[in-house]
Amino acid sequence: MQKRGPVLQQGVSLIVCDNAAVLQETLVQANLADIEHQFFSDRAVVIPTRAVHQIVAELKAKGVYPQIVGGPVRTETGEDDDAA
Amino acid sequence: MLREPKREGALSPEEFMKLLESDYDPSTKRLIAAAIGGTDSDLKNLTERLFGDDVAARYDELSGVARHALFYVVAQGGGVRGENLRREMLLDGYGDTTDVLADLVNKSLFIVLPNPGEVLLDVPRLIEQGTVLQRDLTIGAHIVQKFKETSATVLAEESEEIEDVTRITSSSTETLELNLLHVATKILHTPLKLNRDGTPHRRGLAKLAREVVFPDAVNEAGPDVDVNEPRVLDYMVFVLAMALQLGLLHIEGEYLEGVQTAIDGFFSSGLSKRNRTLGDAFKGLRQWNEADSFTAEKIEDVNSSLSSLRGEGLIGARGYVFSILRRARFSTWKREEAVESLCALMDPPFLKQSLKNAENDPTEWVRAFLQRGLYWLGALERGMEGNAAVIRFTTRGREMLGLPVKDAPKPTDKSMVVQPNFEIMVFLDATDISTLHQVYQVSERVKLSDRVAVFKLTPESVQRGYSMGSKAAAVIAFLRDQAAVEVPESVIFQLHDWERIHKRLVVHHGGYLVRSHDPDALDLWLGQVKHDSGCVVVRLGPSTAYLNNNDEPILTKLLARANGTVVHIDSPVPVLRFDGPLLITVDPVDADIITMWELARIAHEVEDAPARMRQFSLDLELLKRRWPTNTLQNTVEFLEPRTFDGVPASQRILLQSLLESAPSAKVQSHVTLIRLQDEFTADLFSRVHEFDAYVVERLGPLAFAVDAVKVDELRERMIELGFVI
Repeated sequence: MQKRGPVLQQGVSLIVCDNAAVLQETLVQANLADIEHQFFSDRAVVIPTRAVHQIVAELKAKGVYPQIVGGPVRTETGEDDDAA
Repeated sequence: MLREPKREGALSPEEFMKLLESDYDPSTKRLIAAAIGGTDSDLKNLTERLFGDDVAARYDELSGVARHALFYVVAQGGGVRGENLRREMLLDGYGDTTDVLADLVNKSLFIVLPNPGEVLLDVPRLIEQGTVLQRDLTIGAHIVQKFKETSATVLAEESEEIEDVTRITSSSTETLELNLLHVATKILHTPLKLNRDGTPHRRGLAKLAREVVFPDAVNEAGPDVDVNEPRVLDYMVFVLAMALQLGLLHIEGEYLEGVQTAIDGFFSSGLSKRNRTLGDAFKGLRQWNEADSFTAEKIEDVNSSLSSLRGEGLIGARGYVFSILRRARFSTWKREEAVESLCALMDPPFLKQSLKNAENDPTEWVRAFLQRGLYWLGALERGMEGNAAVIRFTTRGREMLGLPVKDAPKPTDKSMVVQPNFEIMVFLDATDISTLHQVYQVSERVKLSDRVAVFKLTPESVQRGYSMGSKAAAVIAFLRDQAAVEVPESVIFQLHDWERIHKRLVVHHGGYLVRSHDPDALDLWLGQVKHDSGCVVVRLGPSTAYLNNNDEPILTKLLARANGTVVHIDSPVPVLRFDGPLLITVDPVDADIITMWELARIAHEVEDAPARMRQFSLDLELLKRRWPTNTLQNTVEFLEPRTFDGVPASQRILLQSLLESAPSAKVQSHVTLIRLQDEFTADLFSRVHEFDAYVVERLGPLAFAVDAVKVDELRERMIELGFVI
């Protein structure tokens, strides 16, 4: 049987927290239930990158400002000026 | 006044004799003889004539521009480089004096000196080629002596410093830097959306414009600023184009994004380096054209696209004017008109050629370059002397040109006050941009007026600063160092507390999840990735890790070497297999997070799954809850691309029967199948009415089910019609 190498999933982001209870509470605040996600431990959850903006916005609205590592989270959306 | 004479001292008779004997071409000697009388073969006589009374009297007859040119040369001790003389006279408002100076050479009132080592100087050819001003020009020592006093008096009157300058305006470099810092920091935190044509999203741009200090203003623009006003829009594009050129911003797809390392590097560097960098960036501006919008009256006339490189064709011309202004070295007020002439007329063919690609008129471009470009850069101040516009270079402007300036002392005063309400008041005149940059890293600017900027330490701004590398202890030390009064204890406590909260939750944005069946192989591979790409690796388990995405090409190469695969979570690949009625088996290492998340919602996990595999039993109630409408269609759409070879037909029928209606079937006995040779014959067969008594059902284009009891009878009837059976 041919040896298979690692599988890389693109388009994902990771949320980690040093405390499982805090993470659970945070994710409730971020309305994570309707967003695809997968827990890899009680302190780490992987989510689609396309959902990061929504989650971060929800958290900020509730006064939680997570440390963001990696590229900027784009919050400006909308159609072109001339497309309206 | 001329400041750098190429040759000091005037010409003596002996020196002139030597020129005639060894340095001049015969044509030059003929030119001199024709101008002052005598013959070109009698060199001694020519020398006596040049230094005689007759020729001296011709200097008396000079008037207007020619007479002033003589005075300039006299003031320099009798020798001057031709181009320097022309440039100085341009700058003093005499216009282009090329022809006048050439005429003085032609009349041998100005003597041309050869370059070092040059022999057989052919002056008539230089005049013809228009290059005579690229040589040193001189006059006789006796002429210098004769006009010394007059020259000094006249030039002193003319070159009086312009002093009574009123209505001085400045768009200072400090203001530009403040705008660059503010705009770049804002965009670093929230990228600015661009339209398809590269123009900034107007709503986002308007938000930025409110907080910008526009040229000639002291305060930020405020809510009334209108980005549909041509000058406002043009200045915003200028600032964004400068930030792009400095590398503080970059365009990423449809967004303008900040570059933190470049922002940190530029604003923490010293004043001289920033001046030089700003000057170079201005010369190389690609996304802004000073001339296009200078005369714009309507917003449609301002091209604000940041993807259009309309300034690229001006780079050569800008460099050319910079070099002219650098050589002019002026530090006092000058008539704006004279400086425009200097720039436009020093080398018109070169300027015209430089502007050819940009399709700009040289005169208009020079005006826009000075009044808009250099002014907005803060390199120039403008004012009025009576009704005449005057300009001068600022100290920072002189350094941008490449001229040496004295180092400005770094402000030593305490420049801020930290208040218990978490506001920081910064006195702009007592601070510098490096200090402001540090304030921006942990706070939001909320107001700027009367040279006082008010910042606010907020949970978001401080924690964002922490996420970009700031530490509470360092922030507190900085505030204590800069604050004029004690930093409130409540602020210090909160800065520590925000750091504690901030450290708890981390979002790693935009990376890869990597999984492997072989933990040891994964260890080796991750080590290689860390070594080659510098990726940050977060280990999530023996067979799972998360990588940040900072070097995709290297990652792809290393993955190929390890026989790995890449999947995008929004482009599913087959990972599921049906191993029984509605029973799905999946290798969790291969499955993406979306597949696993959905399976957990629509199925129950089965406990006795094969080794390393997970099994799920689809639950009809969960399926209906997950997709209340079009349950079957949604279920199949989810499973089809994720199942090896698609959803098996048997499972598809089972799902249909359980989720919608059961497919019906009937079993028929006592029938015989008749198959015709082709469709045409079958159609004819179906239209034979006497066969209706035998046919039970047509089964397709060629086949019929007929009553088995009557089949012999039918065979006979068909043979009668000629069928071969």
